[in-house]
Amino acid sequence: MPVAATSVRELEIDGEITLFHEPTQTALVLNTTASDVWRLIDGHRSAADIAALLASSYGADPEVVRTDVESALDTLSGHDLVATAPG
Amino acid sequence: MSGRLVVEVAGVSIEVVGADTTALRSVLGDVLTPDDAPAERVVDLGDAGPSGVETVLAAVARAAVEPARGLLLHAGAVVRDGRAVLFPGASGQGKSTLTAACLQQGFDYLSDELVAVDLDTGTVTGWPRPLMLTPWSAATLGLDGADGAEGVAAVGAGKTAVAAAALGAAPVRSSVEVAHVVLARRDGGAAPPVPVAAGDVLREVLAASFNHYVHGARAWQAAARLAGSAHGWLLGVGDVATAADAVAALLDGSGAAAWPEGSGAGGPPA
Repeated sequence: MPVAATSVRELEIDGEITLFHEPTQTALVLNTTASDVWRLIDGHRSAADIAALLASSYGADPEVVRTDVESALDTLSGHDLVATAPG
Repeated sequence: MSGRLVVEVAGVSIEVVGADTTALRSVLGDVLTPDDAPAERVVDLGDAGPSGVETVLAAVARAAVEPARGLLLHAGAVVRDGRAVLFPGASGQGKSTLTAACLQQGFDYLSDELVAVDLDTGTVTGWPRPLMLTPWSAATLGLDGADGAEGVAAVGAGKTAVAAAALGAAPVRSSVEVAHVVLARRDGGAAPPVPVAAGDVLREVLAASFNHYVHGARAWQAAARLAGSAHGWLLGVGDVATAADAVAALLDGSGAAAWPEGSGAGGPPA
């Protein structure tokens, strides 16, 4: 279950999200899909839940979207912006 | 005159010692402070003998990174009617050549190398050092053979230092609002500027920053504010005169719409 880190600051510019991780002083600019993934992380939805919601929203192949979602989550967790909680 | 050489970079006064100050003084005129000004930092170039202009400029820029109060960006920048256009990016993308071409078309000069973004207002101040042009750039701009002319000097390693005045421009030392951020691509031919998303501008701005780690979240916020408020463009600078025309058109408000019909077929420079 992906959970947003608490020490993250967020800004939105023209529909895309940029994040700043205070402990590592790292800034990240998310692409459109990653921005949508970030918005849907609430500590309750699983990666599969997020992928299903986005596939429905985009009208796209769920498997393709799931791959993109997992890639976005990997990037976010690689920058300590997202942790995985048991769920 | 005391013989001290004090260079200002982004509001930081840096004294240079161990260099041939007499030779440097004539080239660095636009970035020198009065030689009785107090210095916040000292750069000692040791006993290496007369130091090249580029060596000195690199050393003082490095010395300014920590104490600078703004977010320093590796960027060329020009001004017209009180609005700035930034060309952020790494060396070799054509920043200096495009900056110089814009000066030849009537823009005023902030820098071909570095600007400081005010963390509170998002406005920029420049570092109007002499433009450092490669032989290719100098030839492209019609400056080959101009060494020795007023404000033009060969400075070693094939480079030519050119004062803004030698290109018909005035250095701008005031703080200026950024209207456009142009991502220059040397491998792009003559084509209209293409709008880019604010996120892409922000990525480029963050990648071009020298000292974001000094200012932390404030630097990130300033970069995001800049990327969100300015218009972003991707522009090929293979034909630099045409690219400078495009930059002028952006500020005129005509932008890509002013591009001549059928002019997008150019390829990269030979």
